[in-house]
This record gives sequence, structure tokens and C-alpha cells, in this order.
Amino acid sequence: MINEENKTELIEQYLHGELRDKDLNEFKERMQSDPAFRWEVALQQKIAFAVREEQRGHMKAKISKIFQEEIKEKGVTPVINIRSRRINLGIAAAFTLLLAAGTVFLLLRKDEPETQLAYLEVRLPKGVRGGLPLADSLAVQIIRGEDDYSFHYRLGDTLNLYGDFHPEELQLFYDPNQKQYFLWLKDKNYPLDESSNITPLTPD
Amino acid sequence: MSEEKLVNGLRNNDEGAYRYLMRYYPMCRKIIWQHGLDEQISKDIFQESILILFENLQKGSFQLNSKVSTYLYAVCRNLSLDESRRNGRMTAAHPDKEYANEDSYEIEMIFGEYEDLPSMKEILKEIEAMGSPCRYIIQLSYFNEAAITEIMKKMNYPTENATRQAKNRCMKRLKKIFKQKK
Repeated sequence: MINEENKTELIEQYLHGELRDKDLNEFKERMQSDPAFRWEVALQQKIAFAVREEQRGHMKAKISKIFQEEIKEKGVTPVINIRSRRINLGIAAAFTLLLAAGTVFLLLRKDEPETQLAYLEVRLPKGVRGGLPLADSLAVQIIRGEDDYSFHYRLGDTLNLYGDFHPEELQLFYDPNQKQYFLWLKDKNYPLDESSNITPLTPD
Repeated sequence: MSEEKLVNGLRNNDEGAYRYLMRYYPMCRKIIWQHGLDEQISKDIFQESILILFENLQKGSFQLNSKVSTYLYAVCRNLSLDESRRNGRMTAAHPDKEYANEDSYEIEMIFGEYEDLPSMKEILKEIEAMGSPCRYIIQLSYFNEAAITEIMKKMNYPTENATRQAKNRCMKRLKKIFKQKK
């Protein structure tokens, strides 16, 4: 029986996927028949989501920093399966060549890209009505110093911006009618499409 | 580093343990490349895999019966599969589906339906303003999904019941703030 006393705990159990059989059915029925209860479940779910996203952002920034530092310091080791002595000798020779090439590369190489994490509030464009996406702020990773990408983006769970961007200059909009994100930067509007490819930013 | 030491280090958010994981990047990258994905996406997927490992360690859903590297490679493989399917709009697989609890049910994300809910920024601001112990209890509960016994140990509560009551009081207080603003 759901009452004021056990409500918060039962909502949490539901959100953690821990309710079973009769309790789960009663909970679902209550969500359908009682709008205030459903609103409260949504509130508790959003609280959990907000805490998780914030902590996730901190952890993501930490992992990204460690990753960049380690790559910069140690590089990436290739994966090779060693099968025979002959192959071993070949690999040794190849490594000698790689070592020499690597020394030249290290002398000539540019600095590794620098990453900055920021959160942008997602807003509705002026005059547009409708609901915002699930998260009302989006984690944005700014990656500076990538040789191949100077004014590019990739939109997935987070927004990656490649180039010399500064969070204070950026605004993010979402048009629910078009189901489209837009980046507003220096008086220009850039539509953002969800894709696994890194794409140049092109104004509207 | 032994598996046990590594897992404990990761659980305790030890930077050295996270640095140690970087040795698994080449293998993950190889898996990711097999799905036709590029270098930049490899970096993102590998970092996301570590984040998933961290979250599951906090929740206790990663057990020492599988090696950290095996787990990480499985997550890398599933995330790569999702990424390469994304453009085809196919159903995304659970990132650690091989380790997921089969008894759990799908939770519908309903908070997007309501425009009168507080923003994430407002929620975080109010949690911050609550101060200790509520702020810490809520963070432990919702980010780490810590069990009552774990919160009891970390917060020095005498019994599980006292911990449960404290947690309920904090959540009720927080929800009341937003209900009043509605």
C-alpha cells in the first residue's frame, strides 16, 4: 500500500528497478490513475538524473584529462600477436625503424589537443512553443588543437566542438517542432545534426 | 597491479588506478576500428567505457569474477556496435548487456513530459543549499546508487533504520521545496 510515509522510498525502488509483482503492478496503476503521484515520480526521477549527470560530467572531465596526459606522455602502443621467432626478428627490425621514426616525430610533433568541459543550458528559440528535450542542459566538450578539425562538431550524448570555442560565447537552442538543436555563436545560427561523424559547422 | 588492488583503486576514485586503465586503450581501439570507426570516436568510446565501468563499480554491479580488462573490452565492443548502428537507427544495445541483471525492467523516462518541473540547474542549486548531511546522502543515493548499509557506514548512522529515515527526510524536504514552487 502506497502512503505518504513510504512513498519516497517506493518511488526510489521503482526507479532502481527493484519493485516486483504485486508492488510493481500497484505502483504502475497508481501512476496511471493519480496525476499528482505521476508528477512526483517524474520529479524524483529528474532529481536522480540531475545528480547523476552532474557527477558524470565531473568524472568524464577527470577521465578525459588523464587520457590526454597519458597519450601525450606514453603514446599508444600498437597491438601485435607474436607467433614465431622469425616474426619476432621482423618485429624487432620494424620496431627499430619505428623508434627512429618516432624520435623524428617527437621532435617535430605539435602539442596534443586540449579539452575543456562545459555545460550549456538548452533553450527554446524565441516564439517557439513546446517541450525541451529530456536534459535541459547539455555537456559540451571543447577540443582545441586537433589538426584536422578547426570549426567542427559531433553531436551524440554530448556535444563535441572542435576548434577555439569559448563557453561564454555559445548558446544552445532546441526547436521541438523540427527536433533540431542549434548553436548560436557570434550572431550566427548553426544547425546541429546527431551523427557519429565529425562535421564542419555551417551557418543556417 | 593485482586485479583486487585495481578494483579497489577504481572504487575509491584513485587517479593511479585510472591511469593504469589506459594500457587497455590499444586493444579497445582495435575493437572499435573493427567496426569502421575512426580515431576520434575511439577516444570517446574508450573514455565512455571507463565511465561505465566506474559507475557500475560504484553501484556494485561489477563483481571481481570477471577481469577488468574483459569487462572494459565488452563495453567497448557494445558501444562500438551502437555507434556504428546509430545512423541506421537500429535499437541500441545495453552498453554492458553481458553483465546486466536480467530481472530488471525498463524504466520509462517520464520527466521530459512535464514543463513545470524544476530545471536541472535549480535542482542542483537546492541540493547544494541543503548542505550536509542531505547533500551527501542524495549524491550517494542517486549517483552511486549506494545501498542503505553503505550510506550508514559512510555517514556513521547507528542503524539501517536511522539511515533510511534520514534519507527519506532529506528527499521529502527537497521535494517539498519544488512542490511549493509549482
